[in-house]
Formats: sequence, C-alpha cells, structure tokens
Amino acid sequence: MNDQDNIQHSPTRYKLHPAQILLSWLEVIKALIPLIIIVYLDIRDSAQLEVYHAILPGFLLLGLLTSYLSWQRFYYVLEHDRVRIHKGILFREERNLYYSRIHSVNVEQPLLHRLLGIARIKIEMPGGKSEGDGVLKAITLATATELEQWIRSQSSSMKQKQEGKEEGQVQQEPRNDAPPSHLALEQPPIFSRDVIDNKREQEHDATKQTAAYTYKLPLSEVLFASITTVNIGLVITFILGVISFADDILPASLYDRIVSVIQVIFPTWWGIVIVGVIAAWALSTVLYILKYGGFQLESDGNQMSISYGLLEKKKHVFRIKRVQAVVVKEGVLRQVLGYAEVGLHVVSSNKNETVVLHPFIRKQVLRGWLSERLPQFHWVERDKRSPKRAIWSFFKWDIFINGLLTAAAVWYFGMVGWWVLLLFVVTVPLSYMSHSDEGFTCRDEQLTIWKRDLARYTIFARRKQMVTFQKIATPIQKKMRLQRMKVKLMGDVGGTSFNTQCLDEQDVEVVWNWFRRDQQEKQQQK
Amino acid sequence: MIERENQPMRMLHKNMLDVFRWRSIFSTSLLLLGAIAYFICAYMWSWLMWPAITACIIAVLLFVLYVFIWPKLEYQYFSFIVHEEEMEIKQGVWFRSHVLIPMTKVQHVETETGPLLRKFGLASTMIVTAAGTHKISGLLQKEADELKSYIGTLARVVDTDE
Repeated sequence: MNDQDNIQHSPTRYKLHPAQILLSWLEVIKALIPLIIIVYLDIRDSAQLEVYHAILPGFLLLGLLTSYLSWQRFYYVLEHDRVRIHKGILFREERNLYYSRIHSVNVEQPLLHRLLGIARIKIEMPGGKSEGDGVLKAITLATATELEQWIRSQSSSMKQKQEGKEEGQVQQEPRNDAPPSHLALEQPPIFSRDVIDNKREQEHDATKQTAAYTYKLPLSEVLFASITTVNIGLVITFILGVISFADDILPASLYDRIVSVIQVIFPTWWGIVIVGVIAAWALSTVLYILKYGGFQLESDGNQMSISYGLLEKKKHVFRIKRVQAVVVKEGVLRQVLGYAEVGLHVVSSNKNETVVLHPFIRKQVLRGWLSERLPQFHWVERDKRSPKRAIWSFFKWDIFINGLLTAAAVWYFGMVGWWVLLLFVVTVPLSYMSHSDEGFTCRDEQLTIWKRDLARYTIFARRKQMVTFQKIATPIQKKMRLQRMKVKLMGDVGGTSFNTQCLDEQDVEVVWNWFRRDQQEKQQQK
Repeated sequence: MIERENQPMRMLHKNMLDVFRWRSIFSTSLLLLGAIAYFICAYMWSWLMWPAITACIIAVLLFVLYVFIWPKLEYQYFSFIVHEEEMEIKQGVWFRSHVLIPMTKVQHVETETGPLLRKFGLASTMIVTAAGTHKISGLLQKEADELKSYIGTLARVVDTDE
C-alpha cells in the first residue's frame, strides 16, 4: 500500500499528443478565417488591404509558435488523490482535480480528433469554469480509455477504502486491457491494481444490487427518433445561415442569378419557406442520426457510462448518485406517439448539453426502466396543479407579444397586417396547455415539476441536491395569492434552475417549508 | 418555527437609500441628456417637434420615477435574515423574490465595496453557492465583515451528495 503510494508520488509527467499543436493552430486559423477570406479571395475591394497581406503570415507564424509553446508547457501528473495539470506560457497555472470531487468524466472524439486517432477528455468538477476544469485536449484513444478507467476507479475507491492488500497476487493476474499505451507501460503496477480493483467492485455491486446493464439503441429507433424531432433552432439557423452565406460569400452576379432562378421556380415566398423547412428538417434528421447513432448505455449500479455519435464520438461517465436531476421531455409530435426523451443533469461545463439517458423511449416502459436505472428517483403522479385563476398569467405574454406584432404589422403593411392576429390560433391553445400541464408533486425526498413551453417536461429533483429555493410574485399575483417557484441545482456556470410559471401561494409555501424542514431535522439530529 | 416567523427581517443601512438614488441619477441622467440633445437638434434643424417633446416628457417622468420614488421602494423591499441553519433574502420591487439558502450549501462568503458604496461607508456581502451568488449590498463595512464571518462559521463544509 505505502510503497504504491510512494511510487505514485514520484511525478511522472505526461504530455498531450503532439497533434495538439496542429489542433490549437487550427483554432488560431479558424479565428483568422474572415481575414484570410478578405485577403486571398479579393472579394471586397482590396486595394487598401496591403497591410493585411503583410500581417497575415506573421499572425499565422505567431499562432504556430504559441501553439507549440503551450503544448510544450502542458503536462499532467496522476497523483494518488488527484490529477495535477500544469500549463501556461507566460502565466504558469497549476490545477488540482481531486478524484473525490469529480462529478463526471467525458471522453469526446470530434471529427478531426477521430481522423487523427486521438481523443479529448474532460473532467468535470462542481462550480466549474465555462471551459471545463480539467480538459486534456489531445491524447491517444487508448490512453483516454485507460485514464478514464483510472479516474473512475480512483474516485470510487476513494470512497470505499477497502482496497485489498494482496498485491503480489494482483500483479500475477493477467491484465484485462490489451491496448498497450505509454501510460500502462510506465505505471503497470498502479494501473493493473486499480483496474482490477474496479472490476472486483463491480462484481461486488452486481451481486448486491443491479446486475450490469447494457443497452444499445437500434438504428431503426434512432431513425424514428430523428424524424420526430424538429429542431426549430436548427431550422432557423440553417435558413439564416444559407441566406447570409449566399449574401456574403457568393459574388453578386451569381447571387442575383440564383435568386432569379429561385423566383422562377417558386413564384411566391411561401414555396421558398416550405422548401426551406423541409430541407432543414431533412438536415436535422441527418444531424440527429449522426449525433445519436450508436447510442449505448452501460451501468453497473454505481457508475454509468453513455456513449454515442457516428462521426463525432462522445462518452460521458458519471456516478449515478451524482445525478442532479432527471428531465423527461416530450415534444408535441412525440407526445402524440407516446415517446419521450430522458435527459440528466450532471455537473458539466457545457451549458447547452444535458446528458441524454435515453433519446427515445416508450412512455409506457419509461417508469419501470427509469426506476431500475436511477433508483434514487421515484416516479410519482402530479399532486398539485396550477389553479384556474392563474390562467391569465399564461396568456399575458401571448397577448402582449402578439398585440405588438399585430400593431407593427398593421402600421407597416396596412390592412393585410391584421392577418397576424392568426397567431392567436397557435398561441392560445399552447398557453392553455401549458396552464393545464403545469404542476408539481412534493413527496418524501423529491420534488417533481411538470411544465410545458412547446414540449412537455417532467423534472425530478431531490431535496438534498437542491441548492436554493426561491418564490417570486408580482404585486398583482400576490393579491391573487399566486406565486412562482424557482429551484436551483448545482450545475454549470451559474447553476441549473427550474421554474414554474404560476401556482397557488399555499402550495408553494408547502414546498418552502418542506425544503426548510430538511435543515430543522438536521438540527434535531445534531 | 412560529417564533422564527415573527422575527423581523433585517433591513439595509439607511445610507443605501442615497446609493440607490445616486445609481438612478447616473443611469437616468444619460437618458435625460440624450432626450435634451435630441430636442435641441430638432429645434435647430426644424425637425418634427412632437417626437422630441414626447421623448423629453418621458425622460423627465422616468427621471422623477427612478430618482424620487424607485430608490425608496428598492430600499423598502430588500430585507434579509440569517438563521442558524439557513438564510433568507427578499428583494425586488415588481418581481418580489424570496430566496431560501441553506447554510450547508454556502461555499464561501466575500465582502466587496465599490467607489460609490465606499463613499457612504458601505460594503456588500456576497454569499456564493454552487448555483450562483447572492449579494447583500448596503451594510456598514463593519457590519458586512461581521455578517461575512458569522455566515462563514455557520456554513460548514459538508459533502452533500450522498
């Protein structure tokens, strides 16, 4: 034991894969793309741009130099209780990531990394910075897998300090991981011991609670899921992107010709919109398949590992107990078909991405499946609803925004503008539905929130993981004894929050006291 | 519990009223200046007068509202209380929020003071949790430091995941 620790204390410095130089240089180039386009494609009048011709190569060389230096300075050390990362050219930085505080480990392979046969590993800590606390941007895939396993075993053996002392025996055991990497070669005793330790732990867990579980989503399901997902954001960015690309990049004559051709094919703008929507939908289908294809979930009752992606591979590994919240999302189309997407909130540096536990699951089997995967969360029925008198607060934004739009349209287009009032046909049922879908259940250790914007969400959160609880009301709402609640969880920068729109004051008060009761009980126990 | 409810919430220091007022003056005077400049331009180059006049009236009204009325409300609706196991902060004039922060979730406490606050001898205490920072701005510097160390002793570091 002690010998092992001593070995680990001797710092072995690992460097990133040299491809990192290329990668960070590419990033510099990416930032310079507008400049490059201006200088070399001579789109705009470049008579006055001679200065840039001289500057650009200089910038590129400087970028290469800094890329090299930052690679040169970067190294990480695996200690027995933490990962130490050193970096920085002018300002040297040392970062310590303690295994016991790690919330999740993600192995990612963006396209370029995949082509180069390398991977990126992200170690997520609570209260992390936007860029992630511990990111090793380029290491070989074999190293990444082993590192991930090493961190995983370390963080779980940190908890259960019951490591066996039969070291001799362990060293004789054959190693299970075939891929030889520089990590394994330089530190064979540590690695093998811990990997085997981890295996043993898994077996122990398997007999005790849930058997190891693996789930692969068949491609047909992914296809089905992709068709039922209409990513509105993507559609809009796609259309805007095409327009701005055409406007900026294409020469004016070509652009005009394309526009006239389009106008011949589609005499009205309706045609363009419809084709645009279909194209964007097809694109979103393809992107969805590329993103979630090969979806695989593995769980041993203690750790969970989720991997997906056809072109860009991603793998999240986290402890099941550190899941902050579960979000079941049913899009309009999916709700009709009886399917849902299950997402998890795990502490992560990526604000926009929740971990997807299951991209496409039948609502009927969801309940049982979820309680097997995440036993700490309980499926419950909705107890409290938003009261009838609260309905105005769901309509107020509709009326306000639609009214404004109509006014603008009438002012600008004249009588035709009144057609904008048709928006109400869409928004009124939606608002009505978000009123009737809103509610919560507060039982035992868990707060469950139901709400809807376009899709319907069911959010499960545990009391112990709630950081703050907030109730909000405007004076008018207060007079009507209505209140809004907002729960904050540990999450990405600034925390993850869930809020309801409008509920009965007394109901919210119950949750307030429930959240506070926790503290009182603790006091009594002490 | 009943005793607790009766405990009065603590208000900010009286000087904070002036700070709120000065902040409002800084922000709205820009608006006012813009409106006046617009009015002068409109007068000099004989543009349409009524938009300039309405802009001026709106700016003056906002100035009066934000300088003479709003600071009082802001002051009136900010209060907080620190219990042994949790703390509460009430704030907001229109959206009245009431937040509950358990002491076990407090990561660390800081004090901070800017030029305006310092002029009135005030400081802010910031309570940092894993899900964001809460700010109690407008206590005497000594009080802010006391509050900081008081919350600091109440907030013990506990691993709350398990």
